[in-house]
Amino acid sequence: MSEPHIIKNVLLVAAMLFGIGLAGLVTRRNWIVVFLAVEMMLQGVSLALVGWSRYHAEWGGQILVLFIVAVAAAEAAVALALVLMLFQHAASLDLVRWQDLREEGQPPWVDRHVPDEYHEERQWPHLVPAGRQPQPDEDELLHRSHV
Amino acid sequence: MFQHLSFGGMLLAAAIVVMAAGLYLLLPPSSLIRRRAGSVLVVLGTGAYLAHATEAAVDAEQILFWLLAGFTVLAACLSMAMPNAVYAALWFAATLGGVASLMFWLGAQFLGAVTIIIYAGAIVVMFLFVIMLAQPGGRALYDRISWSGSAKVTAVVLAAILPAVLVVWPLQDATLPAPVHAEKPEAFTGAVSPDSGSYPPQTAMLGRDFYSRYWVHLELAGTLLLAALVGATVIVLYGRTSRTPASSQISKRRVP
Amino acid sequence: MDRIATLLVIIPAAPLLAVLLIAVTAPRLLRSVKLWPAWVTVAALLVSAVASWLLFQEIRFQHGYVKPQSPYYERVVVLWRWAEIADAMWRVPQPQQDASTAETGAIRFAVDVALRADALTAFMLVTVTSVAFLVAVFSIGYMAGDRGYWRYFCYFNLFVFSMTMLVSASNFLLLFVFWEAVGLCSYLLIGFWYEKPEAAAAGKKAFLVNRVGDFGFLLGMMLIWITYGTLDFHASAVVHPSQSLRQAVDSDNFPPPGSKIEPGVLSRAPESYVKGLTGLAICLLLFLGACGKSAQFPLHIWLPDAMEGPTPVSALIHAATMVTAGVYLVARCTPLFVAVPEAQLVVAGIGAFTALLAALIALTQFDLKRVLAYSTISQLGYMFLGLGAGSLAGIASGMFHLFTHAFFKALLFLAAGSVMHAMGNVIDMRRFGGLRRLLPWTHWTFLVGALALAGVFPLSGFWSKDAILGSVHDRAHELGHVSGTPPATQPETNHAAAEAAQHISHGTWTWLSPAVASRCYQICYYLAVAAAFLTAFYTFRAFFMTFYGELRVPAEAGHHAHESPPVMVVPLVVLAVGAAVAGLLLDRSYRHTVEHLPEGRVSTANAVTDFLGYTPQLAIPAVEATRHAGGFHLDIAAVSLLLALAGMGLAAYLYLEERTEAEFLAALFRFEWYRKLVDSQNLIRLRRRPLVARIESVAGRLGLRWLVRLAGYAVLSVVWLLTVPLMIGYFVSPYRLSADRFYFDELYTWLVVRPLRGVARLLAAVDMGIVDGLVNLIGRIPVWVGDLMRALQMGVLSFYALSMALGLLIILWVRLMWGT
Repeated sequence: MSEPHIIKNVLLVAAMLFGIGLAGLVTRRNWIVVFLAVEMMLQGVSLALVGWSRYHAEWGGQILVLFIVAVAAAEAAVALALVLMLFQHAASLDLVRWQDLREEGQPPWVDRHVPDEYHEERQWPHLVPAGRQPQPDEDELLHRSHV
Repeated sequence: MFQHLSFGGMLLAAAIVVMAAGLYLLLPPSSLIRRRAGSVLVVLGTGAYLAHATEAAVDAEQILFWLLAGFTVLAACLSMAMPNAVYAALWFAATLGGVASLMFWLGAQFLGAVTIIIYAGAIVVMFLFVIMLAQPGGRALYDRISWSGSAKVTAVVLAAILPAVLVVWPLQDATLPAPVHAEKPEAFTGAVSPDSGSYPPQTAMLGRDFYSRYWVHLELAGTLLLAALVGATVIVLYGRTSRTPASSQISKRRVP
Repeated sequence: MDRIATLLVIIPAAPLLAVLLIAVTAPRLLRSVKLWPAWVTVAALLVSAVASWLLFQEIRFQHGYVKPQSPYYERVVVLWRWAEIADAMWRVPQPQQDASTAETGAIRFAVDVALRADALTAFMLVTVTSVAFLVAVFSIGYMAGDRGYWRYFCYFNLFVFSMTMLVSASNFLLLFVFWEAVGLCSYLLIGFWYEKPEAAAAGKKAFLVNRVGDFGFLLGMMLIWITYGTLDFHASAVVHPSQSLRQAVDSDNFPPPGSKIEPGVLSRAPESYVKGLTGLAICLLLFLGACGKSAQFPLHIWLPDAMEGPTPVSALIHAATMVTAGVYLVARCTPLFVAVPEAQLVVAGIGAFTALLAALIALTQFDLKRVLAYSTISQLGYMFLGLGAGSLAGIASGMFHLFTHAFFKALLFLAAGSVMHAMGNVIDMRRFGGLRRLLPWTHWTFLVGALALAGVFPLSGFWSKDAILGSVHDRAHELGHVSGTPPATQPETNHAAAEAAQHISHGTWTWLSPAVASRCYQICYYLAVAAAFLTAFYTFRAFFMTFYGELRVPAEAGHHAHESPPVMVVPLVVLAVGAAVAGLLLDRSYRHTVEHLPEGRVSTANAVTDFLGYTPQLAIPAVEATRHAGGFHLDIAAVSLLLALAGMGLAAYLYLEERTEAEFLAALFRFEWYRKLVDSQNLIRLRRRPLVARIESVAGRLGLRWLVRLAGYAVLSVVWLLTVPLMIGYFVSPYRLSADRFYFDELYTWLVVRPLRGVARLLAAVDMGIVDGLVNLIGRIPVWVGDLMRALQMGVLSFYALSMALGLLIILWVRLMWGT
């Protein structure tokens, strides 16, 4: 394969990753998945940078990807901490719940068509919390200081 | 009216439409059927897009790329599609594997390794931890639906035409700029160097550049990481402002 | 720096240093030392006063011994160049101007911080600093315990600093700066007790009324600069045209060789002063400024209200500092006024009219300080009358009266302050009386001040007031002589007048004939004589009402009404001594020490005339020629003394004992008889008179009852017709006019304040409605746009991401469609 075709191929895949991440970012409502979408977009950018780095035979692109990794790690740490805090406030990972921060006087966004759960999705796997099941204590629930 | 359309134009249109349809089916609300149909359509759309960048002679390298690219895009789509956050994270890990393999394919071994080690090994695990802490149930209404149908359509169309707008359209008439070749290109392709007859020490060369030209940036990145570490700790320790159950105050204004 | 320059700098520098010292240390650092600001002030003013007297002696020494041949002495100390504009004005050469003034080309605008020392300045400095020192000593006791003790002394020093700079400035602009500073200080001091609404309003009023005068002064100053091309009083030597090196004016080595003399405004050749309408406008505008500062009609209304300030402030403002600034200005600008005799006539006329007007108002006031305030206005009118007489003796007599007045009026005010101090700040004379046993020192010193104010021989007021009256009288005679109608007077006066008439004024009468002017001066003279009578009357009315009669003390004084402490009594005594002997000393003593003057310099005039005659502005030929004109006139002195004694006698007769005549006079001047005349009850009573009843019955028998009835109706209709004037007459009866101060405040309220307020409201409405409305409209546009954009802020994070992505797409699209 010639270099121009390689870069074109890589750029196409990178753009698709970016676009898919963007679509997920806009449509998904789970904070965690939204951050996954952001990481996805970063992956697209990283891929494009690596492609250009090869095309121009220049280390700068790859080094920038390294920085992207560093920034993504930092961002993920802070953002996930924030997500945890948001969850503690709202007891939900729903992003739309935070529309209370909208401009004053604006009507709220309301879900109109809530679909039923599909039959085949009933048996969902889930991660079991480690250790034994804690006994729910009302006072403890009210005053827990750490999660 | 269709006689004016070239084959490439029709292919592009088909790629956009198929891609958009696949994404539309994949994104929530999703079901098993929709995910399967959407996966097929996305793979088809990817193929239609990649057909724009194909040489007349298809070699093994190209076929390998198709496979890797198809896997990567499919994994990415499923990562965005899965209603369960755990699955989404797992599919994201798969995407990372695809991206890393594409990097290996490009010849950037170090970055491929870094992607797997740091991303899949550390960041995705962190995501999983958070999921375990915040959503142990693994199922919620908001994972199954999107917030707005029109926004979903817009986003899907946007995502589908993005490769066309960013890559295909700009590059269809113009030729790419000539490569600059700041270094010897063999170091980037991962091929055997004709001068020495051995593989070039790619990681060493990257590290040499990294710690000489970019050492200030490196320090800054380190500082950033430290700040993020401290920041995340502080947020978790002191971020809670109120001791009353948070759900009761935030959701008061919500119209049911 | 030689001695004079050093003294000249020390005099204002000492109060300024005191201001800084008090302002820095007194509020916080040395707050516990109660008397600290007072002692700083007293020390600074003592230094200043001693320096002033030394300067006075220096100048006397220069006159008498060092330069006996020189017609005048002045010394200018240029401290630094304040401002300079190279090509400030381009003057078009005018053909009718002579060589000395016809400068062409660019005119430099240069202002030096220049201080001057001459006889007039030294005289003023001595007056200001001495009185201010004594008032400061008095204030130590009077202001004790006040919350703003340090603030008071800080303002006080600032006031003295401004005033000393004002009288020693040698430049109109510098003078104006300190003119304004004096106004500011008066505002601060009159409104010293700013919690009192009256005090705050009085300060504001004084400031605003002064502003009217200051506006005139400013215009006059601009006109002077346009006309003469400089604002300096003194001539300056320009060594080289490009570098404006100026040499201090000294009679010894001025001008330096090879230099060109630039004449100042007040040091030109006599014939080069602008006459005609421009000259008149300059003079009248300057005089308007002087009117504002010196409280002359029609700007006199601020001064009585200024009594709201602390009493020592009243003494300071009305005796030594602020009000004398206008007199000083007119005296300093004598050459300008001499060039336009009509302006002098205006000065004299306003002065005489104000003297009488204020005296009339003072007759019926019951507020002790207000009586003194109106007497101040009246005495300032005398000073302007003297200045307006235009002769050297007249101007000197105005300054002489300023000097003596500074002493006896400060004395009277401080004595009134002492009374207030004892009476618990009650100042209404109807509420106390017979205080002579209670306040012996105050009583005696007040008596000395009152006698001096009334002009009783041999106290100081007598000499200075008679000098004014005599000079006005002489002026009228001179003018009458010029016009060919010699009034019948003593032959020697006539002779002097004739001699002076040959020189008389380079300013010729343009609009008035000398005969008319002579008549005007005569009218002024009689107004002033009438005012002298009234002065004696109201002064002693106040004196008797306060100190005689049975002892009455208001409740506010409590049980401890007592004489003031020594720190307040000692200044009173010193001032009393000054008020008693200053006139006598200055009128006679100095005359014998100047026998070695050049031929023709010894005159019959008093010492002040001789001393002030060395002022450059007063040594010009037009004034110098009248040196012999003003003398002591026995007849005038006798007349005014008799009138003063008559006024005192009348006051003693009316107020020394409880008498009904005062009430009768008040009723008479209130037109009570007139009201009785038109009272219809009287008509009914008239009918019950037996005589009228008999006439009626006889007429009824004769069948002429209708005639009687007709007559009755006629009388009734006349009464009704007279009722209308009654309504007016009730308000404009002489008593009401005097008691209500001739309704000047009301007049200004209706003619000036209300229309201005209306215009201001209109402009405010325009400003707020249209100008601000436009601005607000423009300011509201972003709000409207923002309202539109608010709909986008729906709070769903994904929506923001989507809009960002769409924006990105638009940018890409634009880039691809129209980019390269």
